[in-house]
Amino acid sequence: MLKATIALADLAFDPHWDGHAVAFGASRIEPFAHAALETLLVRTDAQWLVTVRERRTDSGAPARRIDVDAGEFEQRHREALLWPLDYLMLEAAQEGCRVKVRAGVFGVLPVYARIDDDQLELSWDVADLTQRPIAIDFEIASHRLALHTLYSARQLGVGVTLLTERASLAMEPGKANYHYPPPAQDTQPAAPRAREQWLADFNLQLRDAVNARPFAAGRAALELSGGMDSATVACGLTQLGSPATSLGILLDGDTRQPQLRRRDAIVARLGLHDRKVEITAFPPSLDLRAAPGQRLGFHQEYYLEACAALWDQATALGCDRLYTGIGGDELFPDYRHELPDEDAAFDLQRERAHRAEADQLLTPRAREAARGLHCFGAPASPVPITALAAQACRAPDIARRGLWPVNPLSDPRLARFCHQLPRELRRERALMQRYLRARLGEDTFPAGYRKETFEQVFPRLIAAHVMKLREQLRECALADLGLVDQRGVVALLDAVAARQERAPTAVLVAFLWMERLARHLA
Amino acid sequence: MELQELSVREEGVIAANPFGVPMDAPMQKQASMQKRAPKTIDGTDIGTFGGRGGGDG
Repeated sequence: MLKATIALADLAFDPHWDGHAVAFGASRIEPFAHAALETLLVRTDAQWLVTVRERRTDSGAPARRIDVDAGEFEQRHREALLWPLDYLMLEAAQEGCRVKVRAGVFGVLPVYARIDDDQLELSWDVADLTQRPIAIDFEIASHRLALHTLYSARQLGVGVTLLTERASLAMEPGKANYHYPPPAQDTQPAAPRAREQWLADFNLQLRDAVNARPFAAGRAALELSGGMDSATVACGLTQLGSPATSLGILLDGDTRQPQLRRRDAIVARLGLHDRKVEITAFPPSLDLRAAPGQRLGFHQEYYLEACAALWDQATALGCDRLYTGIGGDELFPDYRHELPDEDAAFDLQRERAHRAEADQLLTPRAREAARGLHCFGAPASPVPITALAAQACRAPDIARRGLWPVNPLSDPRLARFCHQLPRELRRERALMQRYLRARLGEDTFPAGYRKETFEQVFPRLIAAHVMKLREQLRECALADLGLVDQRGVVALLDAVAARQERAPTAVLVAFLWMERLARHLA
Repeated sequence: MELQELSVREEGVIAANPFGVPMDAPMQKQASMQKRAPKTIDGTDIGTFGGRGGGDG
């Protein structure tokens, strides 16, 4: 939500607002300039805090300053910490030149930190922190190549730290401390209630999640895939008023027709202004060189080209908020004790298939690193970690286009409500399905409907470009780092081209994206 | 961006903490007095021989 360069010695100066940033000495804290955000600077004797946070209403100045006494400062500090939307707060004490950075619960556009001597750099765009040489973290890279989901302070670049949800980073001369928050409480089943009450309560929770931030139909764009998650957000938004602009990536292959039918039905029913692009017109780039001027993060959206084409359309239409369905996949989890044997066996089988393919790729040392249980991950969070990881992956590219991402299905209150539901309402998203039937009619998402999927995109694309990829992979940065076996890479590439199966493709694509990043960082 | 200076409270107190945000008090104005670890290797020791960190006993 902000970028900052802070020399600790500068904390002795009084901070002031210079029109774009909070400045003190040569140091600056620059909020991400967006109408969805506000900045508040609170000063008292020898102490101050600045918080950049999502706005609750559209009124009021985007940047404010107040000078208060110590008692009021404490009150403001508490309010800033409990702000009900996302925020990033910096607190400074002039005596001793100390600073503390705190993140909110939502993790919409998280910041990364890099510390050198007595200088702290923060940025929501990690590419700002990787302009200087940086080493790849072998253990993190090994886990990621083995397709493990990580949400942690520790990142792929050594010395760069992600401020995870509710975490804090404190710094004073010669010393820096990072603190994870306590784990979120375990889910407790909700008290029983009447069948129709669940649906009414879901409706209320969703409305609150969508309504938590100011909504202006003319400035709102909505990702509409044709699936249940984005359809749910679309229904929630249209409850607030006029229709918004919907954006869709149209798939090729045998899921295309069902996707088209569902999207058309939703667009017509809700009166959305629809924009779409074909995935075949904007396929993922398989070039292992980054595009000129491209800023690579530690995570990249696999379908960035098609997404970016849509986001650019939204910006051109005057939109500045992007509503997404991120978080929907995590709303209705099965608990371990509930899983039928065949489902558990299926998950295990899929995990084994991925591991077998990753084993073929990784060096023995990387295999060992990937099999070790890691203890550096962030604790349980109110917003599920896979949703937080997805947000962190996409948000910088969205923000660079002047759009602010809004993910109503990642709202921690909605997540808690859904996680507490009785099993019959969570299973196969039964409650969401009932909600959608009530809003869109019985026929839009019938039981067992055919879901749209991107699964077919990469196998075909890789098969079509296998010669070019083989040529590019004559040299391999990750092999030079001792992470992958170069013959294993070629064998995996050939296997994907020949069989076009899911498990080897998933492992190969993770490798290709990390190889591109490793070359870029080198 | 223009700066709006405020002298009155413009928002109410938010009391609930449903998601376990760590509620530390503001940092103290005064820097804390910290002990410094004893030096085991002093720059004036010749190659650390004879010092506490030296390995020659």
